[in-house]
Amino acid sequence: MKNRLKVLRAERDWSQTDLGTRLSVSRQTVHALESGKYDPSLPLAFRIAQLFHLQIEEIFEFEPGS
Amino acid sequence: MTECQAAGRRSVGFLVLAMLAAISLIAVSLVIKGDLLSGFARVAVALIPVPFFVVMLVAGVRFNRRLDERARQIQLEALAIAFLGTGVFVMTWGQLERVDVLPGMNAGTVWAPMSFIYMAGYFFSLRRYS
Repeated sequence: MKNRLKVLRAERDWSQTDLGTRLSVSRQTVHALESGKYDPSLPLAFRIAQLFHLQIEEIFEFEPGS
Repeated sequence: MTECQAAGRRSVGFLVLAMLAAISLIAVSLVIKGDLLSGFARVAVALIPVPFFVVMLVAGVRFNRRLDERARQIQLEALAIAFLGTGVFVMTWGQLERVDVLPGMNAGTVWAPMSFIYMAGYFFSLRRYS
């Protein structure tokens, strides 16, 4: 699933570790999310949206067939 | 104590526990092989390592609960591959045993292939989600 996580993180000058700490996930999970290798669960997607004060759809782009 | 220090302590604790379990298993095996005991005492001694492995089981479950969702997904897939892969291995061995190609399998024979299949499954899943 495509997402704007990397851009949003860069806007705040956070490292992947910083973002991971704020979301209570590992740095590897942040990397996997940003590269689209791993799709978050619904609770994690909501936590991400709340952290950036955006809607989930503004961060993640659903691709049919993914 | 920081989270890192706590994690380090847990790892060392688990390692010590695993060593105690292995040592107890070896010691008990030697005692049983030496035919030093009989009857109930023999059974009781044979079961000495079991509590260590039960504690390791609990530690394993607690470790899994501390993982984040992606790491848990990787562990789930690795364990599924290990469980099903071991099933295939045992079934195949059983079939070859029926036609006298392989000898009878004892419980200890299963652990080594299960460990290797789990490691293969772990790296396969890790690659998929990284």
